[in-house]
Amino acid sequence: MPRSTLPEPDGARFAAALAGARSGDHAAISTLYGWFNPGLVRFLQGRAGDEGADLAQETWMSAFTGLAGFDGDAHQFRAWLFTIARRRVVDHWRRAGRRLLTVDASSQLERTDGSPSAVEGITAREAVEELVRHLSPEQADVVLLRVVAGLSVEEVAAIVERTPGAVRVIQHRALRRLAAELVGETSGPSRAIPGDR
Amino acid sequence: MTEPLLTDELTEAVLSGTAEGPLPAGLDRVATLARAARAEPSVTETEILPSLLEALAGSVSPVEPARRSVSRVKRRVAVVAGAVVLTSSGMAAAATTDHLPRPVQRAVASVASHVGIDLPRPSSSSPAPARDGRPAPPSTRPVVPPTASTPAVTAPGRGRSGTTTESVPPTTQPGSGPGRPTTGPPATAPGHGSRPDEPGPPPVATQPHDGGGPPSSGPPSTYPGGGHGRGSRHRPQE
Repeated sequence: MPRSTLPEPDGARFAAALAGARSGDHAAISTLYGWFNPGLVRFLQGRAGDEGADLAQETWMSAFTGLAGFDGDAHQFRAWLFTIARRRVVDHWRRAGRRLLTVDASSQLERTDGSPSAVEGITAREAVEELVRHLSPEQADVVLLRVVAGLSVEEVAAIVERTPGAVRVIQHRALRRLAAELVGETSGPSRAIPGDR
Repeated sequence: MTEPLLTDELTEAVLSGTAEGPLPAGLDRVATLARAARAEPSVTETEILPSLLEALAGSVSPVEPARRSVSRVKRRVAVVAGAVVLTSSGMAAAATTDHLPRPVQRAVASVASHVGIDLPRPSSSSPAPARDGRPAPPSTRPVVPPTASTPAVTAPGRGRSGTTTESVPPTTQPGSGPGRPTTGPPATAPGHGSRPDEPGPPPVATQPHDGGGPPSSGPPSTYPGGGHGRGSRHRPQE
């Protein structure tokens, strides 16, 4: 089962932070946010572009509204958080009423979030957008939940409401498609990233 | 376009960022992007805005939603169950005292007779004796209030029920408080047979805990246990 290289706390630290957050403790809330927000915001930026940051805030608000009802460990919290996030994405595209978001590739390359990756000097956000821009919304969901959120096939299946077997098929086709697209790709003036293609 | 040979193991390795060695064309690029997407977080990703922090701290609900929803369901079930009990006990009491509409009374009596419960039939003018052959004692428990189909209470002095053969204490009208007695049929089963030919308005029973009026003198209560339909087999303790 892949695990994100993004920070994930051990059981005791997570339990303490969760208890503190439930009581409204600012330090505990900041700790939870620091652990889980990087993956969350990358997922949402990959699925909703510049509006991902706003959706991340909405996701956190929804999560904390129902925080008293959550019961689980850090990994379950991560899965729960991304379940909320994906619903936010669906609502976002439903509100937007558009099927395809076209963005200027050059402007994306100029935009940085201050986290240059050690891999080829690109940021995490650029890598995410590069990953999903050739994929269908469902493939993008699956790939990002596997890569950025570090969730298992079964956990992703529960979030996207498909069977684990279907998720394996989706991720397999997504990688084949990505590999085929990236083999001889040349940069164009404009790129399409999936909204709801 | 070329499509690389992609096994399940290789798929997992690429997605988890653990793929090593030479990869098929294109897939190496995918693996590189996957590793970059999992890079260490930046400060902007981990630092929470003060306004969001305040909002999150203020949005934590102290009540557990799951328990709240369960209690809400329990409350609804209790309300429905209470309504069912009240309705059924009221129907049973009305059937016992022959206060249902005649067709309904006949049907209920017919059904009840199959399970060993004697209920007065609307056509019968004879009293319904208790199962032990003795007349049922006067009710010491209030019975149901009149239904919409029952006539209004007979006020004292109107004389309609004055022809009853037994002197019974007046019944208190529900909600009227003490001191507004009404008369009704005798409190014992034989009273059914002693009603005048022109039946007056049926008696009105007293609503439980209704203002401390005199004990109900209405129709015989055959439900000492509170009107659950099998009271005709019991007699109230005296």
